[in-house]
Amino acid sequence: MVPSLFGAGTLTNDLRGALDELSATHHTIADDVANATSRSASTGFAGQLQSSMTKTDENLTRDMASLADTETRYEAAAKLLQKSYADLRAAITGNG
Amino acid sequence: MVDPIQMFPRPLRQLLGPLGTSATGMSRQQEFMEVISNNIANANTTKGPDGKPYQREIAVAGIDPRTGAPTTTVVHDTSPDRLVLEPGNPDADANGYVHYPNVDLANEQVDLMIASRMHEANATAFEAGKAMLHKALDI
Repeated sequence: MVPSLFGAGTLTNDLRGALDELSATHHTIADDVANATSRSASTGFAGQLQSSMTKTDENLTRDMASLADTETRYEAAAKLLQKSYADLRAAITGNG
Repeated sequence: MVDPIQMFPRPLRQLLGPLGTSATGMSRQQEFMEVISNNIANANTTKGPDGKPYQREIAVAGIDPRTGAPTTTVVHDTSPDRLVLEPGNPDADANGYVHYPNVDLANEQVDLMIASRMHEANATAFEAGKAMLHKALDI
């Protein structure tokens, strides 16, 4: 009975997996942002650096958007998991 | 610089890992800002401790191959000095030129803004990680 409540294929298990995955995604984004610039100077070799700066800027914009997305998804998954646990608890104790 | 989060047990490391990464990013940008500020402060230093004009410094981020810890190395920009004709200046050479540091204030200002924005981006990532951690603790 217990595996059918918490085991593979159940909502709680799927949501736990989602939380793990989103947490890993957040770590990757944090890593990207922390390593977006590798030196304090943006000038030196005009053309080459300008193209690299544009690339960094694009990446950063994308990273910040992904960050907001990941945070919202994580919040939703956490709320749903909280709700499913509350439902399970209600079913077990009989106190809806 | 050793990341203190690496000393925690694995489950805690997994939870706090992204926060540590963002914190490292913030301290890296702070180091960049220190180097840039130093360049601005010495933009007109024509005689350093060695008697030569100040040389622009550039902070380069890296990773210690032995420990894996993030490192910041300061290198010197070897581009030529800025020559200004000031025959009356006591620091002028035989031709009347004063050797000013190879620091361009406009470039330094731009670099400072980039470092500042990158610091903000890391702080935002840190805040997001913290909010997610709070949500997880609420389950």
